[in-house]
Amino acid sequence: MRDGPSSVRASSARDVGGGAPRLAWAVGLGMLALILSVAAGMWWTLKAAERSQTASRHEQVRIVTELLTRQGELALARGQLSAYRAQLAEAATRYELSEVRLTLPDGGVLADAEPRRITVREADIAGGWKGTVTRAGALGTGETGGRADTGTGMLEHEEVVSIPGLGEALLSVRASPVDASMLRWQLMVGMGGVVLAGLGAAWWGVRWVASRTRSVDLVRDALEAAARGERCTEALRIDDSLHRAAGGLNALLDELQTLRTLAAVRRALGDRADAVGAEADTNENSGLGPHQNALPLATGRAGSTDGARSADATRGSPGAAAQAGIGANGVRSGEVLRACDAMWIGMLVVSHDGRVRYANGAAAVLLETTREKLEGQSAMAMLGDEAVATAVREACDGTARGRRVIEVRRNREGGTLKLAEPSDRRGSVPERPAGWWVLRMTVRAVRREDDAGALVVIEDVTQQRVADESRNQFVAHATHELRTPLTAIRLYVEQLLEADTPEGEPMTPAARAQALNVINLESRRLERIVGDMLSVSEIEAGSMKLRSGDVRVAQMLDELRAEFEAPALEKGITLAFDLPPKLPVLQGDRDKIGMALHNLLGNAVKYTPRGGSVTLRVDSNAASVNFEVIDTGIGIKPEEQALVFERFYRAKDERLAEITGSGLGLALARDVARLHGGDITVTSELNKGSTFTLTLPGTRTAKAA
Amino acid sequence: MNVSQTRHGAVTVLKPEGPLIGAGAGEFASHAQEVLRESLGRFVVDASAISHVDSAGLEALVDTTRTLSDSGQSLRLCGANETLREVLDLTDLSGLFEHYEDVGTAVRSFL
Repeated sequence: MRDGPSSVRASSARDVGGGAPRLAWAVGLGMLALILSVAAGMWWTLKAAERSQTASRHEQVRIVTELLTRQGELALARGQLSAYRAQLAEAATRYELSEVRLTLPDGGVLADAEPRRITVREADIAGGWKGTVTRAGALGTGETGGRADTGTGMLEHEEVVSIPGLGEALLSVRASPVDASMLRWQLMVGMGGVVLAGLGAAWWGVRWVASRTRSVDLVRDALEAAARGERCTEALRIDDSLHRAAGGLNALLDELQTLRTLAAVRRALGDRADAVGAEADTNENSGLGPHQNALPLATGRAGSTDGARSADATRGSPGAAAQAGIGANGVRSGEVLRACDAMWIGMLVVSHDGRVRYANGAAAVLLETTREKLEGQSAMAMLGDEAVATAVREACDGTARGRRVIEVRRNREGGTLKLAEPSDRRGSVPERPAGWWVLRMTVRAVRREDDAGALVVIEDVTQQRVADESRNQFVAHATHELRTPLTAIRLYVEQLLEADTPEGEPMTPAARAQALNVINLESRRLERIVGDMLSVSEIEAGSMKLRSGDVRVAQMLDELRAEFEAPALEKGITLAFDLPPKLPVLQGDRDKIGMALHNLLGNAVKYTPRGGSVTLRVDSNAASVNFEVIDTGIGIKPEEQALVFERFYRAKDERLAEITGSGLGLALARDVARLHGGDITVTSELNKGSTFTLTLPGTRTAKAA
Repeated sequence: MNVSQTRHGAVTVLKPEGPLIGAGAGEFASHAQEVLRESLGRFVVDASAISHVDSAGLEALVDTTRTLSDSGQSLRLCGANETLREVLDLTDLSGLFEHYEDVGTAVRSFL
């Protein structure tokens, strides 16, 4: 998971502040464009209206001028000057003309809308006048004689009035153009209002769109971030409160995270999860439940000793034929194959031509090969043993009867030594090289309607053989050990008995005492050996119990001294007891503790050569009592120091003439120590000596059995 | 991590010492695979010195027991402490192994 907010988170914070997202800007600009076009439209409309109004005014003035011209011609011809003057005034008022004037060629004003400007009296024109008038049209643009005086914006029209019988006069009309200011104001206000309203609407619209699309933008940003490679789902989440879309994205992210976690757990658990998950899929459960099928591990996959994971090799191979055969009774062949793979006993099905038709996982492992390499091959070659091959051949031929059991011993180097058929297993037990094992192969004929095949069952019986061997060894040595004291006891007893008879030689009191002593010691030895053997069986059964009581250490040590003095002397070893002035009293099993010390001392004496020394030192404190057995013997190699406590372990050393003992002494001693709540430790230096320390808890803390 | 290896008869006993975590767990797994091959699966893991595990440690144990399942066996664990047992129970992996009190009983199971 990456820490810190990603760009998406940061931008969402920014957006809440108020920068509108892109879509909103687009909408805003669109609306603005719309408003501007509306405003422009209104402006053009205004302009057009103005133009048309102006044109209308032009026309109006022109028509009025023409009209007045005709009227003037008629009225003056009849001598109705006053009436004509009145008409001019009326027209000026009605049509808002600023000037209406009838001018004579000599410049006199005959009629005018403004009576004050009239300069010619009616009587003056009674006879008519002379002269022509010209239109003063310096600009002279209009066809009808009118023109717009662009200097002042006024409209001017002039017409020549020809009065029959009198003469020519010039009618000039001036008018102002349309007063559009009102209209313009109205339109401006209207436009302004519309634009303002439009802007307001646009602004509101932008904000609305912005709020709507904010989450869309964030979702798009999140997706773009994911496309760029952001994998952390926490970083891609967006604020739920914005919109449903945000909620949808977050839900998807949550689901993705869950799936990723599940995948990681599946990878960790491996096929077990697949099997459970597959079971779960068929049962339509979700997630990983508790064991849903009884065989979570055995999924019918090929077994191999190098751990290679291969697809189920039974498909499309000779095994498939076996599969077809198995599936007869409605039992699903897949189930049977899984069950076969769950067996820890190897199974080979051999067809009549001697080829391996089916091998289960255990068979492949025990033969140190893979299922693929086994199936289809010659069974005789794969099993690699003469006797077994013969047995298989005979089973396939149909000439075998019953079953044959052969034990094959194999070494790591690959050679095989046939041990023997179980029926005549005897002879000396060979020395064990490192890396050997024993496979028991049972070959049995399998008869079908038209042909015969063989079933080979392979069992790994190595541990049983080892246990057998060590037990045999133990028994052999133990019986030897038992025999020695028994012989001595019998000897001395017979001697004593004979001495009492008349024929026998009398024994001196010293000799008698000596004999009795030996008998005593040897019986104790017998007792101990038998005790050892019993302890072994107790340890094996896990049921060794301690008897708790007072242990008088002084007495125990005296007995030990008595026991070992002679053997030490015989071997030329100094035996010393280094004891504190006051010996502690222990709580525990006196016999077992005594046995433990006896074993330690025995080892010390055994492994110390002539001229060395063995010392038993006792010291105690409030917490514990320590018995140290220190010797100057051959020592123990560092790598063997932990091993010597193992059951049946016997250190091999060329310097020892013969390895005696059961290999149990130290193991027993340590078990005893530990059962009391203490322990035995060793320090040793090769060729210098060893110190075994038996520590037992003090009286207050000793564990009661 | 330190893994001590001893033989009890024909059975090899592997004793990893300390926490079974991280890279050390991977080393232990390959060591176990080797021992598995050599001994045809006749081995026991003495878990009494494993103080705790992490997911890598669990993976190592599960891998080993899976390989053993090829021959119908499971990994024999002995002396597992409270912590380890709990972790195995919680992750529902306990059933993949065979549990024994001590090395002796575990070794005897091969008879």
